[in-house]
Amino acid sequence: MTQSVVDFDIEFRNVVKTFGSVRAVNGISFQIPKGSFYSFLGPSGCGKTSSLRLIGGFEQPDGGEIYIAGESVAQIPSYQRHVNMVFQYYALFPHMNVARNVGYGLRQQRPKLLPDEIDKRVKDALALVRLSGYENRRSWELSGGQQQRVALARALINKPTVLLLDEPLAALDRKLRKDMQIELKTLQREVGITFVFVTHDQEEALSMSDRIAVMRDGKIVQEGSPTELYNHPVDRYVAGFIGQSNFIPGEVVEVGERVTVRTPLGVMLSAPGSKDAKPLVEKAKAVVAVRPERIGLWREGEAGGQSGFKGRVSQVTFLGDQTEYHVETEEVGHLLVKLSSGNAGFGGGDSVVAYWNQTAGLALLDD
Amino acid sequence: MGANDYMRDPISSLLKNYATLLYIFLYAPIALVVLFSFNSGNYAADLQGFSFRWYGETWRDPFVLEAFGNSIFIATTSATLATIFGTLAALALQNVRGWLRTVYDSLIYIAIIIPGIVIGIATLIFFVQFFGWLNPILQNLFGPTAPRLNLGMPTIIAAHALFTMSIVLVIVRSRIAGMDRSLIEASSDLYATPFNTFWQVTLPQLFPAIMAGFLLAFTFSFDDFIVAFFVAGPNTTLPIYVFSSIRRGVTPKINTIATVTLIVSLSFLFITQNLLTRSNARARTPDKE
Ligand SMILES: Nc1ncnc2c1ncn2[C@@H]1O[C@H](COP(=O)(O)OP(=O)(O)O)[C@@H](O)[C@H]1O
Ligand SMILES: [Mg+2]
Repeated sequence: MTQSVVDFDIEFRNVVKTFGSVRAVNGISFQIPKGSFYSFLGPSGCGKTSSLRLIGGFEQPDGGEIYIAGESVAQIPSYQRHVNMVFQYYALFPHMNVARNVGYGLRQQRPKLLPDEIDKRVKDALALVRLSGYENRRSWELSGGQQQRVALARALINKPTVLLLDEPLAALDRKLRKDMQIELKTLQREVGITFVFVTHDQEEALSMSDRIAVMRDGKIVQEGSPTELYNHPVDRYVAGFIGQSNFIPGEVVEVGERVTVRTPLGVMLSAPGSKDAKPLVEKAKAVVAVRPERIGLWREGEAGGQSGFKGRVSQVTFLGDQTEYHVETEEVGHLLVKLSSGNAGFGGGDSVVAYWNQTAGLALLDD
Repeated sequence: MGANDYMRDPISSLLKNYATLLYIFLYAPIALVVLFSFNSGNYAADLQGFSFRWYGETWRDPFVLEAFGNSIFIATTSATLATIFGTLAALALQNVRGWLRTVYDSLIYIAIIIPGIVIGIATLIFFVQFFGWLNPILQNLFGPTAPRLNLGMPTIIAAHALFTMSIVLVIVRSRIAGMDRSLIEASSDLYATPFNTFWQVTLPQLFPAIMAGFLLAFTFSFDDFIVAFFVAGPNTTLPIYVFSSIRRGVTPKINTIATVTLIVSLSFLFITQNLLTRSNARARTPDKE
């Protein structure tokens, strides 16, 4: 038991944080393994920042316990917690140059560090974020990307147990954001520090994280690795948030090895339930979720023995390697289909048959 | 509609002329004072030629010098006191919320808009009453050699510090309100104790506003006639000197004093403005989501 506690850098047990009548964090529990890249993912207002601020010590929980490196931090103020934060808008000190910003944490140490030691570590930290030679710049002279790297260096120089990052990429433009995603991930591997990352961008979370906690209304809906979340979402919310999905609503009529769902038009669809979700029961409102890339298209008449849903291509979007087809079917409504561009060749207005393997869909609780 | 249509529009051309007139009306007297301070003639209103003669005369006048010295001393001391107490009050008010905050805020603004004459009379009455009560006690305690408290420089300083304090408070408080809270959190995040955060982040962030408050308080005290007139006792400040010598007729010296005062005040206001806009621009936080 003691062993397992120390394997986690952060642990929340039933933590609650309220602001007036708003339950920003509504009883969440999770454990963040040492050295991992852990993300909180969810739409704006779901409590991600509040969770992070609870770890940093900028908010005090109204209930539950928080452990950092196995120790309860209930009585420990933010300046004594060995975690550091990269603030959403960086919060660089405007009255200090880059070097003094980066060395700020080291200058607070008692007994005092030698100035030479601080200078050397500042230099190293700036080299780590590829900003050597920027020591004497003022923060407002730097671009957004550079400011962010200063903020990173300022946090990492203290070798914290955990680095907290609150939507650090949101303020950057798209191209820079992509570069920084890779850079952050590389940096995390290099320094081996646990990163706790907050984002509302699922793509960002999927591409960088070892584990993701999907949040909604102050609660964690599902927690797992990116592939687990993608392949086994527990409900419609997660399936819709992680990647794209077609949702075909209906009612559960039979639960066996597969779940059978009847749509309002009487179409029977069969799909496995999600292995991480609570089992569905008969008569429950459910959706069959099908990823757009798991659906195949045939030209009408060429489908051979396959049975599928007849429809008409209403829109074609070329994405480069892939092509997106919007297909209007009579039986299951609108479908989004993604095919690799090589086997494409359908045009708007074409009559097609959409087909997916019964194991390609997922029967999920609708909410 | 081109620029010409605009020019021919009778209402806007009327307004334009009106604005020109208004500025002439406002600034012509001041320009005249400055102009006449360089007069080489013997009379204030009789322009003879250009010279610095009267600046020299003024500078050698012991009464002017004494009044000037008093004014500088009073302005510096009262502005320093006002800055210290105003800043402390602004910091303390940070933690006051709700209706109490509204009450405090209103009281501060009322203190600023109360006419000088009311402050003058009120402080005069207060000092007279206070000294009338305190002096007998001091006599009883220390006998006839006890110091007698009276109106004079300290009372001017006290009165000025009192009414300029609210100016400092308002300036510093608006800076605190505009300050990025995340800077303080960042400092705490980086292991600075609350005390160190105050010295290393809060105070430097507020410094331009504190300086601006000091300069404004200085200017107000330096220019003030009304309040000083009530509580000055036997002491003379520059505005009081000007007032009393005008009763003997406007001399060219008055013009030079006015010009110097004008330059000091304007440059202080200019620096203040600069301090505030520059620091605000740097401290600006990007819009949150
Ligand atoms: N300091 C605060 N005062 C009042 N309400 C707050 C405060 N901080 C957050 N909230 C509320 O708590 C909820 C969660 O906020 P937040 O944690 O910032 O969400 P996220 O970071 O996921 O967008 C929101 O409804 C927000 O309005
Ligand atoms: Mg947030």
